[in-house]
Amino acid sequence: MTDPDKTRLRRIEQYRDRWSSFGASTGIEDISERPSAADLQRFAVFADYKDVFLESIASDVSVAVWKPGSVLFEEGSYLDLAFFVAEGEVELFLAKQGEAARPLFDPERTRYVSRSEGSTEEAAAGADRSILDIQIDKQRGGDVTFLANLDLDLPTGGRVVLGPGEVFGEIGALSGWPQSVTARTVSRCTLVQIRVPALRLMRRRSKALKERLDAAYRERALAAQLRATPLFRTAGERGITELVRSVELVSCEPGNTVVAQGEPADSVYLVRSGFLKVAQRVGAAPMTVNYLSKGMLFGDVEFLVDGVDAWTATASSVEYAELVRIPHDRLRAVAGDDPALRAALWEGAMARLRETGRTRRDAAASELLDAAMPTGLVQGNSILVIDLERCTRCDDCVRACAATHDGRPRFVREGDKIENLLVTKACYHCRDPVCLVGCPTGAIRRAGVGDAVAIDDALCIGCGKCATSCPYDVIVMHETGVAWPDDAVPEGLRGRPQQIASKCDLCHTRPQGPACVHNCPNECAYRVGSLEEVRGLLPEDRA
Amino acid sequence: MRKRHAAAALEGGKPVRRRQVSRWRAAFYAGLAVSALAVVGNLVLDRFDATTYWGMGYGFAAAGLMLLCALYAARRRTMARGWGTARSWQQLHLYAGGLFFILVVLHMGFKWPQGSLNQWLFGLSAWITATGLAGVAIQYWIPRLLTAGVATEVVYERIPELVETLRGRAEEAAAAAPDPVRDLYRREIEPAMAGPVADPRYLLEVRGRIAARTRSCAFVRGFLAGEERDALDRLETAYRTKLEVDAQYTLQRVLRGWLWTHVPPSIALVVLVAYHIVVVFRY
Repeated sequence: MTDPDKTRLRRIEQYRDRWSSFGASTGIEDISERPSAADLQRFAVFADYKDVFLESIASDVSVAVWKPGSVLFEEGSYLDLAFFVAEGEVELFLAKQGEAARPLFDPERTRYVSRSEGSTEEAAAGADRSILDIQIDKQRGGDVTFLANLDLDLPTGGRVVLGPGEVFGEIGALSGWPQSVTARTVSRCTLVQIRVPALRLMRRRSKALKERLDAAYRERALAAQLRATPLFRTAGERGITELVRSVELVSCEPGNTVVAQGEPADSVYLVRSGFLKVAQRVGAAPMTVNYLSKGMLFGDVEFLVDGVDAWTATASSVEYAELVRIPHDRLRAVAGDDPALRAALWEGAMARLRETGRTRRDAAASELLDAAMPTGLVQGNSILVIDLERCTRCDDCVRACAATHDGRPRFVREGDKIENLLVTKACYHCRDPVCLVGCPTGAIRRAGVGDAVAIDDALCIGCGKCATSCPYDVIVMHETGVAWPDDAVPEGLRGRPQQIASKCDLCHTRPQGPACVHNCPNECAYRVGSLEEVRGLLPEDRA
Repeated sequence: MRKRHAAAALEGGKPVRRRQVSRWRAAFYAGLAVSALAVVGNLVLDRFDATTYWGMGYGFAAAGLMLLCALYAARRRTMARGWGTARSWQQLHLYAGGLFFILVVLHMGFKWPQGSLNQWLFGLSAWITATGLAGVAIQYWIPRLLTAGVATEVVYERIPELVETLRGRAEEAAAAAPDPVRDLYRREIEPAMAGPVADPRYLLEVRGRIAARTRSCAFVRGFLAGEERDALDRLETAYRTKLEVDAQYTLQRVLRGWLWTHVPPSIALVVLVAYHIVVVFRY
């Protein structure tokens, strides 16, 4: 029989590395079991909710007591929860801004809005280099802004101390993007930890909470994010302040229609997180003409072109999405003073019109767009695509994968077929990796600050959460042939066969890159990161 | 088929120009030019015979290229090491193989070989070169046939398992179907569902062949009422998928099978060449 104290310590140990990809030492003194509605009612953040609702979200809430000086999470780590400070103080600061890091995503792969030349240098200039400056530097030359990466605009050496009643981590958690700051307890803290599903439900139920979260976002991050948007880089401080004050923050659930074709267009939308599908009516049927992801703008054509007063397309969310709605009159007020901004708007609008026109002319291009969301092509940073017209089915790619991973291949040469391309069942290394959310030990994580999502075998407890969460079924569970020991935690595991999650890790430690690509004798295995790259692999007459 | 990125390859996952192919082709042309110069020199300076230094030079060069070709097999067994891209090695294998046969012919002095060992050596060299070229043609033609002809992509090793699943589905659909459909199943479909079938006619055409085999389903459909057609539809889907799997089985078998015509003779050639060198220098 295991000592209860030992069990508790093991539980803490299991959570030790939960949110940090850098192995911070544990700071949890105590962590609650499932709290009751009455337990939750003690905290102000739950005061507006009824008992029945609180019972329904209780499994996604825990109350933890943290030691002073404990690192809660670090820059670059992914959180699936927000922290509510019940007691004590937490400081947020920049710890890693000096480290040379690759941009999370290659901006060249997601080109949409054209480059506004000359503005980047101006934006990056300044004695105080904030995380905003660093992010802009990383994106230099790129056209897409990683909005929610900037959830706090702190200058170097700056720090913010949050006390009882404050919420933090919610922007990154709701957006599914890495944290831009490090959080550490200043004193002994009691923190209520609310996972994303509960947070979304709470926000939907309580207008007050939504307003509070939006206000915090507006206060902490919005100005920084707008300044980092290529479109607004040249806008002066006055313009940004005006926008921060006047924009509306819109949260969408999967399937929500944001704007409908033919209805009056009165705003421009900026995507903070998630994806929007843009469709136009062709005859009676809607045709998907584009997907919009983080940092992209929608409604610029309607804003700029005289006589176009109604939406030219319908935009709907395909997953949880966060948007910034900028009313036309507000944008006009800002853009009117700024020729560079107007030029950037025109450039973006022209790019969108060209893209839409091409899709409408070419049925195959629209087919590809239709297939893009269900097959995950819009999500992936590095999707293994095989050109079947050149593939001799030798399976050297799979064999190379097995040879690189101790005899266990991380993918199968099966998947969806689009024209001549096979989108294999190998991890896509998604832009928004939902598999990371909910891993109880933090075993699955971004490998450093890069595209690759990898699983640390030493930390994986084989719970299968990541495999269940993956929308593309690319994570598989393997039996290890060993049973869990009698003192395993949680207790439910004891005696059961141990499993381990397995997926492509992009061979991120291999200097030659992915073994599958490197060992394809016919050069028909490609790693693609955007729809453009997929189109490039289609035969010319079908692209 | 022209591709927008036809000249694009991947290096470390990033699209780059395909340099390796042109490099090896250039090396091949350079090899041809050197051989041609050697032949001219040989004709001017000496007689054209395997026993001269010139002839032995051609022979050693051919043997060296043969070993270089054999290294491709070694490279395929050390995939984790990352010694150059597989594409580079494959190109080296192809072009070195082509040059090897030219040097063998030069080594023989354009004369029919005398003695059974020499005839075997020449026969094997010619056979390996011919099967290599056939392999290039097969690897060009069959992937295109497969891609255009079948909607499903199947891993060869999983074909028996898939056929078994399809047989179960067809069995289930037939059990719930009206008599004409059951008759059709027993008469035509059931024998075809028994296991993977290699049908050489798929080498010529896939879609037409499948359409011809499923024509009887369309005929029977004409005699069925609305709801009775559902069972036939399910049965036809399973049958059609099975035929596609058969096409995959046939064509992938050819893709794999041709190696048996190429690799074992290549091993035999390496052994015989070694024996030939020992015999020539020892006796």
